[in-house]
Amino acid sequence: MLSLFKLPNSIEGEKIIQVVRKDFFIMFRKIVLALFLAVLYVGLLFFILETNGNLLANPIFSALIVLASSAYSLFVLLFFYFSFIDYYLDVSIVTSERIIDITQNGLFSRTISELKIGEIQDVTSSVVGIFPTILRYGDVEVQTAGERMRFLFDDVSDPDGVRDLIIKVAQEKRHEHREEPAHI
Amino acid sequence: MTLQIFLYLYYAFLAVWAVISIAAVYHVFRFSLASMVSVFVSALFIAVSCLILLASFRYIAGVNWQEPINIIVDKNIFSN
Repeated sequence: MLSLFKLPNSIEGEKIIQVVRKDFFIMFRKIVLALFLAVLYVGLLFFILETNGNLLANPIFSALIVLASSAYSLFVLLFFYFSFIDYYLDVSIVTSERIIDITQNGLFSRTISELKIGEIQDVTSSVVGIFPTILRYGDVEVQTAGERMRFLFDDVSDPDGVRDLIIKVAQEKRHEHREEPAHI
Repeated sequence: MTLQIFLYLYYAFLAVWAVISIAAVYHVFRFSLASMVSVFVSALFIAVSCLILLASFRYIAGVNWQEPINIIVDKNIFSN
């Protein structure tokens, strides 16, 4: 597992400021979907058994129902776990020196990007929609002077707070650079 | 044709499911940020999976899978 105490390419004196994840509502939606899939199957099964009472008495049909139920419940469980992986493995770590953005795209695709705090030129937060407005989650876009011009952190909690935090850390870094004595 | 064909189909599904599940659990432990949340959810996933599999296999052990499947289905099965 990736440890906060042992980040990749760690810089001396680097401090972890904040770990930024997507808002829990994003995961909640997937939990609701998984529950809906489970309830849908139970409802369908209940309906079939209620309208065809002799079905369970038949050994062939009862065996098929059990196999189908087992397979379906394992499928829904795996769907829920995949949703968790997709949500939880997307993380951005703001440190005193850089921002590390880890994005999980499906199971076998992962992107890790780093941007130096000193290269940040502009930070924009946006909250669009009814649920994002009520629950206060949205996107934070970071413009940099590096090779990769834009970093987007989508559906993060309190995007205004994240924006302010990144700006504050970037300003502190720039202030630090100005105070460093020139090496001649 | 016997009922066993459905059991083999179920086992085939289980084999694919098991491979994907193991890959998913490995992925979480290899790449996620070390935290109790990922450990807890992974443990929950494994525990519930084991429960479902245990219940399924207990049932499977008691079924006569050599039972032949008749193509012509008794219409009385679908009556109340």
